[in-house]
Amino acid sequence: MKKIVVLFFSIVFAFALNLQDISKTMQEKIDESLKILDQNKNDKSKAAEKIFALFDGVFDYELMAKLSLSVRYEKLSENEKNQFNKAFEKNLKKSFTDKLALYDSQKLKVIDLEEKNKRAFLKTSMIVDGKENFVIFKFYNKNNDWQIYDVDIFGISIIQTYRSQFKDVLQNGDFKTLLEKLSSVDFSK
Amino acid sequence: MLKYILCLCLFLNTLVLANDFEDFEQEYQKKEIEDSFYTYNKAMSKFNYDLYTYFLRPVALSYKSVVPSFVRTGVKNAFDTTRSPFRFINHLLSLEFRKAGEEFGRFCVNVIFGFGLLDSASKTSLKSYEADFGTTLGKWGVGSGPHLVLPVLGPYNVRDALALPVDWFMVPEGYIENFWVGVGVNATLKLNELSFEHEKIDDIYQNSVDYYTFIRDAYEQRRQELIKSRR
Repeated sequence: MKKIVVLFFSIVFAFALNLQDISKTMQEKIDESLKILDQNKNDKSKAAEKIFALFDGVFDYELMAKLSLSVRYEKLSENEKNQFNKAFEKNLKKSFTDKLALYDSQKLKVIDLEEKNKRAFLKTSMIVDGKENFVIFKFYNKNNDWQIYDVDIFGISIIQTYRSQFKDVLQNGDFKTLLEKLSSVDFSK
Repeated sequence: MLKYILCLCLFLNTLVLANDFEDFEQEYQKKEIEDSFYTYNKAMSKFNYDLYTYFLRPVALSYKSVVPSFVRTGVKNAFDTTRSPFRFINHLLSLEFRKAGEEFGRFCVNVIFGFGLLDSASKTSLKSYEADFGTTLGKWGVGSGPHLVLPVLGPYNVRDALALPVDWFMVPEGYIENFWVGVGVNATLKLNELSFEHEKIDDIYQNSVDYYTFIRDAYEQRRQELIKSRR
C-alpha cells in the first residue's frame, strides 16, 4: 500500500508545474503550437488535436466547467456533473479548433508573470493590425501543481462569458436544455 | 495509520478546495454586467442577427468575391489611416502624450510611405492604441451605464452610445455634405470592414450557447479592458 502511495505522489509531482517554470514552459508550448499550426495549415482539426495534447495537463477543465456553472454545479447529481464536464470540455475544445481557422500566424510572446492572492497571471502579447493585444493565462495552485482555470483573450474572460450564457439559459430553461445547447453547438459550418 | 493520514489529507484538501471555490466566485461576481434593458436588448439583438444573416452577410460575401483582396486591404488601410487623427485627439484628451506621439508617427509613415493605402507603419516599432470618445470618458471616470443594443450598429452601453455623435465629428466621413454621397461612402467602408470580419461574426453566431449574452459580455469586458489600458 505504502509503495502505491509513494508511486502515486512521485508521478503527480513529476508532472507538476512549478510557479517558477510557468513562463518558460508556456513559451515552449506556445512556440511548439505555432510550429504545429505551420506544419498543419490545411488540417486544423489535426493541428488542434496535437495542441490539446501539449496543453491538456496544464488546463483544469473540471474546475473550468464548475466555475462556468457557478453555485448551480453543486446541485447537480454525480451523473449530471460527469455529463456536464464532458460536454463543457468538448465545447471548449471545438470552439478553440474552430477559431484556429481564423488564426493567421500572429505570434504570442510571453511578457511577464504576476503573482497575486494565490493566483498567477501569465501575460502574453500579440500584435494585430499594429495594435498590441494581450492574452492572459490565469493559473491557480492545485496542490503545488499550477493549473490554468481561465484565459483572458483581449480582455475577455472565457469563463465569464460561459457563466453569463449558462445563467441566461438556466433562467429560461432547465439543466437538460443547457446540456442540449452546449452539446448541439454546430461547428461544422 | 496510513489510512488515517490519507483520510486527513483528503479532508484538508476538500476544505482548501471549498475555500478556493469561494474566492473564485467572488472574483467572477465582481464582473457581472448591468442589463436593465434585457428584454429590449434581446429583441434588438435578434433583429440585428436577422439583418446580418439575410442581408449584410450575403452582400459582404458577394462584395468579397467581386473585389480583389489587395483593393479591400487598401480600403481597410485607408479607413484606418483616416481614423488616426481621431485616435490622436482622444489620446490628447486623455493626456496620453506618448501614445499621441506614436499615433502621429504612424500617420506620417503611412501617408508618406504608403499613400494612406499601405500599412507601412506596422514595419516600424510604432504601435497604435485603440481610443474613442467613449473610452476617453471612461478614463475620466464616467460609468458605462446599462448595456444597450442599437439597431444596425449592434452592442453599446449608454455612455458609448452618447459618445457616438462626438466620434462622428472626429472622422472625415462626418464632413461629407451631400447626404447620398455620405451614405454611399459609409456603406462601402462598413461593407469592406465586414468582408474581413464575417468569419468572426459567423463563429460567434453559430458557436455560442447564447449569442446575445456572449456578445454583451464580450463587448463590456473589452471596453473595460480598453479603459484600464488607458489609465
